[in-house]
Amino acid sequence: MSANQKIIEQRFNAQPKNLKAIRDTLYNSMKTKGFSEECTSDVVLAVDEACQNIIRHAYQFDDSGIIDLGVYLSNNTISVELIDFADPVDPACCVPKAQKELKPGGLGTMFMNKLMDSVEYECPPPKGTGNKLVMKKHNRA
Amino acid sequence: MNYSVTQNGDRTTVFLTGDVDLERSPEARKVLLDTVDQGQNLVVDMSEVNYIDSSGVASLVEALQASKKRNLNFSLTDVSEPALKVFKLARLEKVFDIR
Repeated sequence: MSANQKIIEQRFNAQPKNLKAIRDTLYNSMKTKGFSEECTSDVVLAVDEACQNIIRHAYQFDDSGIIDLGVYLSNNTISVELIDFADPVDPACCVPKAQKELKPGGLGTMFMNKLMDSVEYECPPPKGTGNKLVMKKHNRA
Repeated sequence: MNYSVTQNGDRTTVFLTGDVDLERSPEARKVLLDTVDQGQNLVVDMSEVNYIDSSGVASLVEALQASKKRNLNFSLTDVSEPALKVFKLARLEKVFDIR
């Protein structure tokens, strides 16, 4: 696999109805590039959860919001970049919080951190953007 | 996601199919909580769930908690492999009554 190969670059509206198409595109692209089923499903869920966080928390369900998705491949590692144009979020919010009691919320961030090798906000975000989240995972299988 | 509901006495089975995601989980949440509100013991058949995310899991947790508050039974049956993987990720596989 060549260095920094572009897999997906796609702009879409931050709407829940768009997430299935994004999942399908990502799944098919990663399978085509030879990623394992486990690694592929892990990345698909993590990206879905990250998009959900943007829709819910960054844009607060304002469906005119824009998300830029970039997926790149380098040395058998997939790198996912998600850019939004909302107000900046506190990077601490991507750190999963310990939950002592059963709660319906807060699972998405935990999923992202468990499924990916790294989850980081780029600080400061690129000029003209709101937030840039970068997640990476190596294809082990 | 689609769903169907079958009632048998004081037990209602909700059969979920497809993707239980941010777009569809509000619908799942509503049918599950409505069933609990009606005082029904709830079985959720997950054999045909292809995909579930944190919003779908949250809907199930809410229904579980609502059932407990009303002393009703809540169980999941025939959980598909993708859904079970997500429950394990959330460490909920022993919280839910999975049959």
